[in-house]
Amino acid sequence: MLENGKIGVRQLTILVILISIGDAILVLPSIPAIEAKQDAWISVVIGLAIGLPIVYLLTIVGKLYPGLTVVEYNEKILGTWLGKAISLFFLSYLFFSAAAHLRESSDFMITNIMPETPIMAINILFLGIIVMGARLGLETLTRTAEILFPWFILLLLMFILFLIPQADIKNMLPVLGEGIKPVIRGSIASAAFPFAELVVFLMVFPYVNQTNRIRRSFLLGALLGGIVLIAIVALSILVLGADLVARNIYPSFFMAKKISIGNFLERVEAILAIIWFISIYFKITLYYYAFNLGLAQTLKLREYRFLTLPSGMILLLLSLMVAPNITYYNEVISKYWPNLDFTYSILLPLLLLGVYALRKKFKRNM
Amino acid sequence: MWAIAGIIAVIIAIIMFEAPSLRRKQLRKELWVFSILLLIGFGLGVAISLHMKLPPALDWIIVIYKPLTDALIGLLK
Amino acid sequence: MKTRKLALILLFVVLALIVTGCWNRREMNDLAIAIAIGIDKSGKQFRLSAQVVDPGEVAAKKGGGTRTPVTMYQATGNTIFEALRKMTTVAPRKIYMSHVRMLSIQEDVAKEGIGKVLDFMSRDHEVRTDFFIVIAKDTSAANTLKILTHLESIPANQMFSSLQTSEQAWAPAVTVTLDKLIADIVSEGKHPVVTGLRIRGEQKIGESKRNVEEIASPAQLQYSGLAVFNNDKLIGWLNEEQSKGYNYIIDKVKSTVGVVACPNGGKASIEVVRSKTEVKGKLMNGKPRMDVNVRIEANVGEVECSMDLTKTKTISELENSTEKRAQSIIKMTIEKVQEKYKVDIFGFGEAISRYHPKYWKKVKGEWDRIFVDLPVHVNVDVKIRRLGTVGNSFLEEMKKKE
Repeated sequence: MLENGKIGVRQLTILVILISIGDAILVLPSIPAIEAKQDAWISVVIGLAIGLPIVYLLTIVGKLYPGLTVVEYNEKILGTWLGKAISLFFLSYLFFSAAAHLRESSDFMITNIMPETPIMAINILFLGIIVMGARLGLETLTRTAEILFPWFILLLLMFILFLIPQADIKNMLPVLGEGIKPVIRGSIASAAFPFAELVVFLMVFPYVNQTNRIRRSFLLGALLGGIVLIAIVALSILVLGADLVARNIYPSFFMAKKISIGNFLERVEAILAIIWFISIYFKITLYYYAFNLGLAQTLKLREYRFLTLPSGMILLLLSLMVAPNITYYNEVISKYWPNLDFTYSILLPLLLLGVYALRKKFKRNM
Repeated sequence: MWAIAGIIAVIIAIIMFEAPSLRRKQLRKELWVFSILLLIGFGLGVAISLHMKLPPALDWIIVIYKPLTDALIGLLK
Repeated sequence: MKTRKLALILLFVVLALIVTGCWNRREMNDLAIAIAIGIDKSGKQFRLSAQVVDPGEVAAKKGGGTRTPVTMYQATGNTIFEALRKMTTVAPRKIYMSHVRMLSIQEDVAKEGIGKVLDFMSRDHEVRTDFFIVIAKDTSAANTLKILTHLESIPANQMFSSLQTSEQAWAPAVTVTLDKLIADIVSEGKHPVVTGLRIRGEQKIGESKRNVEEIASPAQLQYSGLAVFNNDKLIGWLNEEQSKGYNYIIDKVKSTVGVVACPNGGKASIEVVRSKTEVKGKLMNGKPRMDVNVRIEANVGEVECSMDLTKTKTISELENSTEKRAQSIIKMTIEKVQEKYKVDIFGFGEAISRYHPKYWKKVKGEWDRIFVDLPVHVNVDVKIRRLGTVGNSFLEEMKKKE
């Protein structure tokens, strides 16, 4: 059986929050800060404003065929061959995305905590739980997210609370000192990474049990995730100042190192790294799961689980091939990847909606 | 040398793990896809362990999206 | 079923052999925990000194063997990173940087620019940003790491606490951490300032246990003066009074003591218990003007003259003298820096950039030139609240008897 799990609406919201925070909580603050400097948080606000309509668009497409995933109704709308081709493109996007994110999180571990460990070792271990999560199916995955969610929120609140004493409002001034254009340049990535990358949920919608409430919970999740990101970016500007946020590759981790409560609660950044691992794990696993499920559906296979091991191996190898060094990775991710995100989260839905509407008109005229 | 042996070992382990249940359930098409994926994995694995010069996988993204990014940034400068 | 289990076990074994943590494991006895780092020049190279804890000696309950609680390793290299790795030729273990509390940079290195030194510190993952940076004055940085101290068995801890306490209780010292220093170097509206460290007394004795065997240690570490930087190059020093003025302007004074003249001659010590400074930049006809407003709450700490503290008139006279004194110190500091060093160390540029961004964009390239003639209006408001535990000084009574 392909997938017969069902998830509830609240679980959907939790999943959306975790995915939209994803890896953005760790690497996003520096990208708008390079362009917008101390207004980086405004970039994220604009990103949210751009992202919510995109998310809404996704729910419209999702409603066309409520029981089918996107790769399934690709064929219904665009015809078998064109549909399959586009599905394959979509699936390759998911796969590359998972590989890139895997590489990114392992790079983070190695840079900050275990510099001499070869990346293969961390990748293999992380891949182990990713593959396991994908094999266990959507329902189990979501239930796990539900269990981990309270801890995630607790640690997040601790993180923010413990840093507020070190916030200095002067670091945020002058507001819009350089004008609005740099802020908009920074908002492209801020809209793409947390929100446009939610397009993976087009593979998840059919398995939510209350179809009519999907839109509300999906938007709610995106909104909450966006608010958390705005808070984190604003906090990093307040505590570190624009220059350090732009210069550091992992500003949130650097911030966590600064936590010092009463000269006693110090050096806790490794515990807070748990936050990032939870959110990154769910993002990568969901993408990977969606790929396997989608591949099985596109090729009209009867099962998807057996695909996970071989594709896991390819994922591992691909994550090594994705970029030769971190400079290349950062450049591609910050400049070109957002456009890839938008292609699948804006262009594809519009294409599907357009063709669907045209077909309906034809049918009526016939 | 050892790397390739390792890759083959992993592939054998994967086959031993998944293939029997597929064969039992008579899923032919699935076995085909399974093998193709394993083949791709094997090819990539060998290429990487022999340190062949492979282009970075994200190169194609740059090629496709460069004009769009340049236009967008130019618009917003 | 059997083959499936076998395959599983095989997989697990393969995976378990690659337990990640082992790659980067560093057992405690593999670490040389450095708690202070010193950087000197050696020809065209850097000489790096690391004050490393000797855990056996520090933890010893019997207290005071014949060994010092810390030891020092040195190495010379073309860059800081190279020197650090070279240190393994003398140190038995690789130096572990996460517990460093003090970074001492020699004056000559600072004159050529501390930026080169700081990049390694900011890039390395082991180095945190919670240590203080000081400039070693009239001595080498290595020497400052060799002085043994009484109260704290680990000298770096003494240096750290001393700087922290000194900043809080006696204003002319400033704690500078790595991230703040880098932010100031990079900022276009502020130039950094770093506290100076010197050795008072005999260096040679200070390095041996004899330093702590006598009641009055022959050699002591003393913080003295603030070093003024132009971006990352040291260009001069502020003396004690000017350092106090500086701390007032950047609102870092928590508590300090000032001596003022009594209304009828003589001196009194006023203890500042609270101080808040606000620096505002104004544009008058397109030209900038700074307003520095200081609000001080103080007590009378010591009286060496004859005045009647029970009369409010005396108190307000004292308040007046204190205000004038503080104002003159601050003004004098600003003028000295404008005249002699010509760099904006007070962050006036940053203050302007916060509220007048358009003007700032125009002038930020030549801000230091504008700073030299910048009119600064200093306003001090002192409120004396308490007198300690006695009213009038007994000196008054004494005088009456004469």
